[in-house]
Amino acid sequence: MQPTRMKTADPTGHGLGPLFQRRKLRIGTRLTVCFLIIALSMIAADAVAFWQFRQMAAPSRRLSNADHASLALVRLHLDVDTFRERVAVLESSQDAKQFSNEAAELRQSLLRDVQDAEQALRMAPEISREDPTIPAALETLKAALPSQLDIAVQLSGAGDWMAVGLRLKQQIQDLIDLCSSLVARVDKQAQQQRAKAIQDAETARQRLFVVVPLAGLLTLLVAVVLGWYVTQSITVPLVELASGADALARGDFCHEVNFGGNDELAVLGKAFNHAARQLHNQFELTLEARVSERTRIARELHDTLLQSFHGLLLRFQTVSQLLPERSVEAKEKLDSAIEQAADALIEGRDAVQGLRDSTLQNNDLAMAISTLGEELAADSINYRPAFRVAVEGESRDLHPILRDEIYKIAAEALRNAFRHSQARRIEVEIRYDKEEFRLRVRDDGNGIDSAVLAGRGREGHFGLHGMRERATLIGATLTVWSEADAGTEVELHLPSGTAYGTAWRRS
Amino acid sequence: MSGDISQIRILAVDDHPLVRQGIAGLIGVQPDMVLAGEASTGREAIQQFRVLHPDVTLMDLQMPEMNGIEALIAIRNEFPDAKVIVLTTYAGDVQIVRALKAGAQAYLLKSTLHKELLQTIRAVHAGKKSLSAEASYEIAEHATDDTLTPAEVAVLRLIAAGNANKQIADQLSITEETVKSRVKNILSKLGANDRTHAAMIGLKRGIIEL
Repeated sequence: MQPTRMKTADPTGHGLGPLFQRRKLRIGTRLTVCFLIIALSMIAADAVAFWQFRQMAAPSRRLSNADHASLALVRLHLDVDTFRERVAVLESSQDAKQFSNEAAELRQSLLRDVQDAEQALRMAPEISREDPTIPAALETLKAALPSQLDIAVQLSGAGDWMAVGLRLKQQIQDLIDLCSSLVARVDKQAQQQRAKAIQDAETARQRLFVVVPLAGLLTLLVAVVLGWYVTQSITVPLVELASGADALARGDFCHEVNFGGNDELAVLGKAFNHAARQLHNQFELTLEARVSERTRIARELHDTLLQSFHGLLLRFQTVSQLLPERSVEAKEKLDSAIEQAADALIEGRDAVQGLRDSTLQNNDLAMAISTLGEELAADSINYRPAFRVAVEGESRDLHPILRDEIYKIAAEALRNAFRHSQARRIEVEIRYDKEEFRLRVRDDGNGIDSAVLAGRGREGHFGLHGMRERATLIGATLTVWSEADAGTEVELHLPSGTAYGTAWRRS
Repeated sequence: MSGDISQIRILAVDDHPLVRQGIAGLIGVQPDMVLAGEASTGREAIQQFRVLHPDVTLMDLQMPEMNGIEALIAIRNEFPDAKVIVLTTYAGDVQIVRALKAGAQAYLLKSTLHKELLQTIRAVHAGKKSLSAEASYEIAEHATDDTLTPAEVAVLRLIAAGNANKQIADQLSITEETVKSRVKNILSKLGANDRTHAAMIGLKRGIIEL
């Protein structure tokens, strides 16, 4: 087990203490926040990976565009070649009508090819950027091809087949040359783009190998740290709570848990501390009552019975020494010793009664006091005072310890009244008020000597000192009012908070 | 008072009238003794001593106002030759030793008073020291025990008064940890099972008083 020395959670005890002291958020909120952060970091890592794959796709797209442009130009070149062949065939047939018919078809096909090539070049802007003469050359072709065709149609219409043949050899051949050089140049650019794209793809692939695992690792780290934090922020207080419970079980009531923060565990900690304090109070009270009860019994025996017996022994010894020579004197002393022994017997019976009363079986205070009063009244031989117990207000539960003490105070007051006051009436009034509990024991007897009241009383008589001690112990105030021949009134006040307060209630 | 010079003049100090009466009765029938006076508190005892200069003083220990030990010390300070016999109900070894150290000539238990009182008075008057048999057993029993330190006694006294560790710490201006370790020492030195038991042993042996 953990050493039990740690009184409270010492914030400096573990380095991360302060982190867990500042638990402002409730556990649910804390968990949600942590999960959100983890989810966000996972999304971020996925985004990075996605971006990297996109980066890898770009070079391959460029590669395909360049190939596309290259193909378009090759097709253009082929069509231009076809154009020259058709013109050559038509020239040899010298059929002007067919020439003009086919010319329209050729024109359309050529223009479509040029447009396709232009489109393909637009898709691969890198080619025009690297070699700006390519679009210009294409423009030239676009302008020159239809015009050469128109001229050839006109010349054929005029029947000048010679001029057509000449043009075929010169201008159209130039265009074919231009076209093939264009094809060569675009192909060269496409080659370059291809090489570059392959290189880019390789770089991207290498980067992917670093970036994706790194992002994953970072996400994992965030998840681990947050998970650890959340777990610790819950388990650290729980462990402390457990050690607090252990301490309580051992009887160390002063152990307080200290979480700080204001989450559910902090509330639990406060409740625990409160419970521990309550337990402590209960325990102290019981212990105090136990110790003081034993102390009281010891003192009572010492003050009454024991002293009487010591005195008696000395008297008997004296009698023994006087016999047989001084028998008259011895008898006198023996008679007085017998009287003293009878008194001692009453004292002893009172003490035993006091002990028996210390565990009041019946919860009903009024009933217990009535029973005692009846007993005392029965003991009174020479006179019998009227005895009455009145209860005012609704009877409430008192803590057993309180009830015992109150009963003993009442019992002492009653014994005084029955034995010493010569009263005609003795009354007990128990009042359960909202504000306080009150007990009154009243008689109309001959009152208590003022010297006794002032605390200089004969030991063992009246027991005023003991009554005051008991009253102080339970937090009550005791007032004794007495006047010669007017009677005595003992009044006990106990504030309601102490008398029926929750602090006393057994759960 | 009797003028016989050979009689032992005795002052009886006890707060219980029955005991004083008993002592007075027994001494009253001894030809060689006379009761010079009585007192019921320590303070009264000192006053009476100054006035009467008794040969032997019988001193109860547990008394209101000023207890027997304090009165014994005060009397011995003023009259170093005073012969005092301590009377008590309980035989607590610590209390016995304390009384002897304070200058008592004899230590008598009240339970054996009727047998031992007279011969003890005569012995003390003759200049001897004396101890009840039971008191000597008690001292022998604990002679080899570890004694409590004054600090531990202070803690034990507060325990017996029903205080918790925290309250004891506050009252003695020490830490609760210190209180705990002292309580542990007290339990082990006294061989007590718990705090209440320790308090009871402390009272029984006279380490602390009611």
